This record gives sequence, structure tokens and C-alpha cells, in this order.
Amino acid sequence: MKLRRETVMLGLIFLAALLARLFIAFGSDNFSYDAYFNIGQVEGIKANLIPSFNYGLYYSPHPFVPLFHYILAFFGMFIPLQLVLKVLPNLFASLAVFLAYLISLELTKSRTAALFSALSAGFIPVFVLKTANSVSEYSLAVPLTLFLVYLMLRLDKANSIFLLILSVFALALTHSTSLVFVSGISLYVVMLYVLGSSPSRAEREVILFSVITTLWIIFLFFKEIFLLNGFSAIWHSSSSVFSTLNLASFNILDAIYRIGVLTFVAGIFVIYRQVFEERKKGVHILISSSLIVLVMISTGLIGLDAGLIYLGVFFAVLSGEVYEASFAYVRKMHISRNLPVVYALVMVIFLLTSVIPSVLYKGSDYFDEPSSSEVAAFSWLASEPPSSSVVFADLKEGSMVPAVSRHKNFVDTAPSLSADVGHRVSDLNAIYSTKSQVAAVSILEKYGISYLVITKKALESRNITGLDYYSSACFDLVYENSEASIYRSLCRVG
Amino acid sequence: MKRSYLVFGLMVVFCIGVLVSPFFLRISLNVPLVFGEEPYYHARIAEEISGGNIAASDTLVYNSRPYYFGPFQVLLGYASLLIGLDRALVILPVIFGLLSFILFYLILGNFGITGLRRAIMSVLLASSPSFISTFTMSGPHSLAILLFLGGFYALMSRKMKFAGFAVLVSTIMFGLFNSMLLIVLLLGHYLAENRRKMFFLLLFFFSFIGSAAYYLLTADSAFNAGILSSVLSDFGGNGFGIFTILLLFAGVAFTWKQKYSYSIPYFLLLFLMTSLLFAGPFVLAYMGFVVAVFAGEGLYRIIRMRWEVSAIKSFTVLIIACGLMFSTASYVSRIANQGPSQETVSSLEWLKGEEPGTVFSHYSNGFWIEYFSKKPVLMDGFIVSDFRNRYNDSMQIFYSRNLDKTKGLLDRYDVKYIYIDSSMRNGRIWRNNDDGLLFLLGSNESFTRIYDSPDVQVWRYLGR
Repeated sequence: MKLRRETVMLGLIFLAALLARLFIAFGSDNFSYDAYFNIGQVEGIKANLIPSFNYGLYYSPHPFVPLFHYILAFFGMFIPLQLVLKVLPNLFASLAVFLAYLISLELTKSRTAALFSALSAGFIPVFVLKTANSVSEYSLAVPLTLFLVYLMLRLDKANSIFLLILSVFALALTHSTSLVFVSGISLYVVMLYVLGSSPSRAEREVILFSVITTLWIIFLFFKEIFLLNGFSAIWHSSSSVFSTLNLASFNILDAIYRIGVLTFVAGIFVIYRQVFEERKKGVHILISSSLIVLVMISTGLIGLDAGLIYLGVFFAVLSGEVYEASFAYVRKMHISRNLPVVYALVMVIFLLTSVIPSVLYKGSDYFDEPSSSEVAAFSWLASEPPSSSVVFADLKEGSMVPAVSRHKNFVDTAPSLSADVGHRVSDLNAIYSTKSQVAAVSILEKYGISYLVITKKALESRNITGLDYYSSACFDLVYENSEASIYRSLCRVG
Repeated sequence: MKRSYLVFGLMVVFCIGVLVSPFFLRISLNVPLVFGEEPYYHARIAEEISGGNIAASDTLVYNSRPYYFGPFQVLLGYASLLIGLDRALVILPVIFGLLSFILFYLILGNFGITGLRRAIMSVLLASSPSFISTFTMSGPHSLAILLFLGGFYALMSRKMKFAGFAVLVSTIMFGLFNSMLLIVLLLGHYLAENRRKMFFLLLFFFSFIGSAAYYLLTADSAFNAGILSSVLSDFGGNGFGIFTILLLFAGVAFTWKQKYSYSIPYFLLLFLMTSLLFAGPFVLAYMGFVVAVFAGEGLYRIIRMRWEVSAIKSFTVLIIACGLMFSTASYVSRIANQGPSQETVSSLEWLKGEEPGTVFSHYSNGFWIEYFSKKPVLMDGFIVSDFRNRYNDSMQIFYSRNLDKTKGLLDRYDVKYIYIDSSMRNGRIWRNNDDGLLFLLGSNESFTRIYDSPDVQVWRYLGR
């Protein structure tokens, strides 16, 4: 059987995207800070078959949807878990290449444009950097979202409905950002009516089913958060606190760089053209989803990085329209013999603005992972009794405490049921910044903290060299290496 | 047996099952059968009525206030003479609920709504959190709703028109809201039936005069929480599950083209939604019936409409059914776990034996303190004359670490006891053990701990 040239090209793009991700993932022995909550849950499922939704070793219950963790734990039974955690998420994320190709082909009917879309989707800097070494649910949620968009475009085809039902369940059970998809398709219906069109009967049925199923699953798993905080849960959850912190440092140029300059410009151009000039029904699913993501980012309903990942992927697929229009223009101008030059030019721009940032961003703040010395310090704590001791660590290091040290943590960045996460974050900063030993000890006492893990990175990020109130009478230095020190708290107030 | 009777029987069994399930759960948890806060206020009034010694004013609130009572408390008082107060508090609302359910079922039949459509609406009503809370927690609205439905049903029949009219007018005794509701109901009925204008005007006149008079004599419950959170049971409210709300929207959308045939439900829905904003969450009890009609219509049309993809239809209906069941089950389990706990009751019965004095606590504990300890409180769930000042002063006492300021406020209200339970410590008021008043209690000789259990602490304030 002879393979088409495009099929070979697509396979090569997929391999390139996968290899780039694996290059990043295996470039380090450890995982990024964000990974440790998921690693802890995967290990928990592997050992006990059920995830830990309740307190366990966390400062408060952390509700989440567990399909991704179950898949990793399942493969972890046959393959070394470390390997599964490094390879499988990247394999899932790289599937975005095929899905972007299929959607773009469906929309543009041009294999060349679809190949460029696939290339864009494979090398979105923020997607690669945030998922390559962080065992992130987004590595599965994003391809599933694209698969659902693809199925929405092919509702008339056999098996589409069956696959769509399965995928809606799978996406809702993978990550709460499944709401991006259902909000996107709901806005799509509104947009169609506004533009004087209407969804087909099958589309309406599928959208109704998707919305109801996703809402039900989200309410089922996150019920406690809603009951505890009422309607304000949506804006006052811990993830929202952290996304607000991220938003404060939002920089549009940085955001464009993280999505990829070419992909961003192409995406914006397609949105403009589709809304004001051309009206292609299928494209509106992606446009409405992109608009929903923008609203969610600006209202803090989704984290900045997560929002940019979805925006990047949607723009990558949309960019196929621009590539197709550009190639058609070149052909129309009767300079088709120059097409290879145009392809090469696009490739060079793309390499400079997406591929290189994706792979060479390592070392920047976006690619944040603990050093081996830091991991060693947290591992050392695992041998310290009792396991119920609360361990203080910096915010991003918080998830390492339960996952690596097997002790209860003080705070972390994973979404939690705690209503006082804001207080904890301010108390955490006070531990680093206060000059008063009494103030520090009263905070430690308030939360029952027995150990403090103070890393060099945490001190450097605050431009300090140590804790001002440190005294050997109150803090026993029990462990030290080049990157981290561990203190046992000895004093009490009063 | 005719199929319609069988369906009716099943509906009644379902309704009974839903209404008694919170009580069975409470028996299994070994906690007092009567749950919630307000039922204990009605219990106290009923106790006084049955004892024949109603005081001129309610002295179990600091500075006293006029009694707030009506037909429900009177009925509860007399029922308690027959079967005992504890039983009356449980049985009466359940019976009212069952009768209301049956009347709703019959009224739907009178409007030509039968078969699957009527069954869906009835199931949605019985399983809605608003219905469950209204007819499991003793309160006047359970009787008011029963009278409304009874009156309306009689009004629709040829032979009992006057009786229906009389029963409907009697509902004005339950408050301004009920009188307004009566007007809207009759307006809707008039428009639907196009009856004689005089008949309608007469009712309007009676309702208006009655409302104005009643409003001047009584006050309604205070402390209305955020409306959205109170509507959605999945967000901690007593209204409806998220799926019922979605079905409500679907029902409105489906029936919009025939809005004139649905004039009464549309009138009522509009009025109740507006009232919810002004009158407070108790309106949800009434809204439940209208929402059941629209949501039921929505679900019925979803089931009956021609679907292009039958697999999607099956899954959608299945998920909706699961979502509705989940909301109901989760709500029943939530209310079954409501206070008062056995420990609350024990601590307050112990406090009853102590010397007289005002008890300071969170207002949500007010009715329990009044009922079990027979001691006055600074505030409870109902309005008092200087409500705003008392509320602000309460907050000062809870959060201030200034001993002089706190003592000054405690002295102003003659507070002798401070009652603290775990819910107050765990977020309702404080988050940390050294916040505000907790700091002062632990570090000052002006306060002595006189009762201590894992869940409850009672402190005596020794004064300046």
C-alpha cells in the first residue's frame, strides 16, 4: 500500500511533536512542581484503586475528576510508573496534531493547510511547556476537546454519535475545563441565531446532551465546593485565587509569545474574517469556544496558562483557514511555482515563533521544576515520624509534601475545598517576610506546623537570604543540602 | 383496577416515601426528629397555646417583641394535645404535604393534563427540595399552600365555588405575600375563565384590605441569604436542583407559543420570581408547584419530541433522570444532617436549669435556645424592633478583641451566657481559635466556662 505524501508528513509532524516533548520530559529526572498532586493521586489509585478526594495528606479536600489518573495508574500496573508518567501524557498531547489536521481538513478541504494547522497544534509553546513534564490533565483534555469538535463537524457520519457520547463522558471525567467545550457549543448556538442561521436538529440534540452530561458530572464531583461556598464557589475557589494571582502578572506580548506569534495572528485574523465577512458554520464552533476561553480568562474562571493552552489550540486549528486563503491567493496570482517558497517562508517563521520557543524555553519561569537536591530534601522527610505532622513549604512546592514526603501539607496550588486558602497564602508569605519570631511561631502554631522546608529557590524568589527570625533555640536544623534546609519547630507562644 | 388509579396510587406512595425519608435518616443518625431552626419557634408558640397561657408578648427575646403566630401554630397547639407536640411537629407538615400533592395532581387533571405529563409534573414536585423542606420542617407555609390548593380546586368545581372562595380568602391570614398571591391567582383564573368582573373585583377588594391589615400587624422572617444560592439546592439552597431549573427554561421555551393557554402558571411564575427578590426564600415553597408544571412540561416535550438521534435521546433522558435523583438524594441527606444535634439539645436542656439570664449566640441558634433552655436570646431568625443595631452589635462582640468594648456591649444587653457551638467555630463566625471573642474568652477572668463538650461550650459572663 502506498502512503500519501501528506500522511507521511503528518506522521513526521506527530513524531517531531512527540520527540520534542519527550526531549523536555526526559531532560530532567524530576517532574515540574504542578505534577506532584497528580503523581500522588496516581500512586494512590495504583495502590488502593480509589483516589483520595478527602483530606488524607492534604490541608483540605481536593475534589477532581479522576479518569486521567485512572488511565495512568492502569498502565502503571504493567509499565514502570516513572516511564508512564513521562511518556503517556505526552503521547496524548501529541494526538492534538492528528485532530487539528482532521478538523482543519474538514473546514478547509486543503491537505496542505491542514498540515500547517497540525504543525501549529503540535508546537504551541505554552501547551508543550506546561504539559511535557507536569503529568497534566490538559494533555488528555485538550485532544478530547478537539476530538469532540471534529465529531460535531461530522454528525452525519456513521459511528460519530457513539464516539461523541463516549467522548463527552470521557472529557467531563478528565478535567473541569470540559466546561470550555460545553460553553463554547452553547455560545455557538446563540451565534448561529444572531447570524441568521440555526443549528441542525442533530446539533441541537448533541449540544443538549453534552451540556446536561457535563453539568451533571461536574456537580457530582464538585458538589462539596458548591455546597460549601454557594454560587460564589465559582469565583472564590482556590484555583480562582491562584488564577487571579496569575492574571495580575498578565502581559499580552508574553501571552502572544506563549501561543506562538504566527498562530495568534492567524487565529485573530480568522475570527475577524468569519464574524464580519465570510460565514462558515463549522468555524463558528471554534470561534465561540475561543471567545468563551477569553471570557473565562478575564473573569478568573480558568487559569491563565490553561486558558492560553485552549486558545492556542483553537487558534492553531483556525489558522488553517489563513494558510488555505494565502495559498489560494498565491495560486490565483499565477505564481504557483513560487508556492514552495511560500511554504518555506511560513515554515521558517513558524520555526522561529513556535518550535524554538517550545523546545528552548527550558530554564525560564514557565518550565519550573524542583532540583534533585530539593527532591532529596523532601524525600528525607518521608522517614521522619509522625506522618500526621504538618510540613511548611513554599506554595508551588506544597504538593510535593504529600506526594514525596508523605506528610500533611500546609497549602498547595491544586483546587481545594478550603475557604481560607487566601489566608494561608498570606500567612505563607508572612513566614518568609516577618522579622518577628513571635509572629512566625504563632502562625506555625496556628496550623500545627512541625517542619519547615526552606528552599534556596523560595528565598531567591523573595530576594532574601534566610529567615530573619531564625534562632537555633526555636528551630532545629534537621537536614541541609545545597538547595534546601529543613527545620523542626521547637517553640510555642505563651 | 384502572391504570389511572394505579398511577395515582404510585404517585402517592412516592410522595410519602420522599417526605418521610429525612425522618428515617434522622432516626438512623440518632438525632432529634424535628430538624431546622424555625420549627422550634412554632413548637414553642404551640406549646403555649396548648397550655392556655399565652403571654402578652414574646419574652424569650431580649426586650421582648409581639408574638408572631397564626392559624398554623393554633392548629399545631391543638394537634399537640391529641398526639403530643413532638409527633405533631413531624406528622402535621407531612400530612399537609401529601394533601397538597394530591390536590396538585387533581388540579392538573382539571386543566386536562393527564397521563405521563401529569405523572412527570407530580414526580418533579414531590422530589423538589422546596417541596421536601416545606413539608418536612413545620412551618405556616405548609398549611397556607394546602389551603391555596384546596381553595383553588374547589373554585374550579361547579358545586363548591363559594367554599373555595372562602378558603382562598382565609389564606390572607398568612401574610401580605399570601394575599398578593391570591390576587394574582384570581387574576390569572379570571383571565383564563373570563368570568364576571364583579366576582373578581370583590375578591380583589377583600384581598387588598386583608393584606394591608395583616401587614400592619405582623412581620416576616429576616436574614434573606443570597437569592441565587437559596434557589439552587446544589449550591446549598432549599429551592431546586440545577436540572429542574434547566427543565424550567425548556418548559417555558416549549410553551411560549401557547402562553395564553398557560396564563395562570405564567402569571404565578412571574409574580413568584419577583416576590423572591423582595419577600425572601420562603417564596420557593410556592414556586415549587409552578416550577414543577413548567419543568414537567419541558421534560415531557423532551421525551415526546422527535429526535434525529435516538441514542442521544436515551442518554439525555437518562442523565436528566440521574441528575434529578442525585439532587433530591443529596438534598434529603443534607437536611437529615441539619441541627439540632443530640449534643445541642443536651447542652440547652442543661442550661435550662441555670439561673435566668440572656443568652448570646449566633442568631441561627436562637430558636433552639429559646425552646430548649427557656432563656431569652439577643436575636433569633425573626425581626426585632432594633434589628439592625443588634445585628451590628453582635458582629462587634463576635469579632472584637477589645475587652472593654465587648464588655460594654454584653452589659448593654444584659448578657449572662455565651453559647458557642462547633459550627460557629468552624467558619460560620470564626476560623481560628484566637479570633475575636474566642481570644477574650480564653484569656480573661470575666468569663467562666460552665459547660464543655466536643461540640458545645457555654460561658458565663461575670459582668464588669
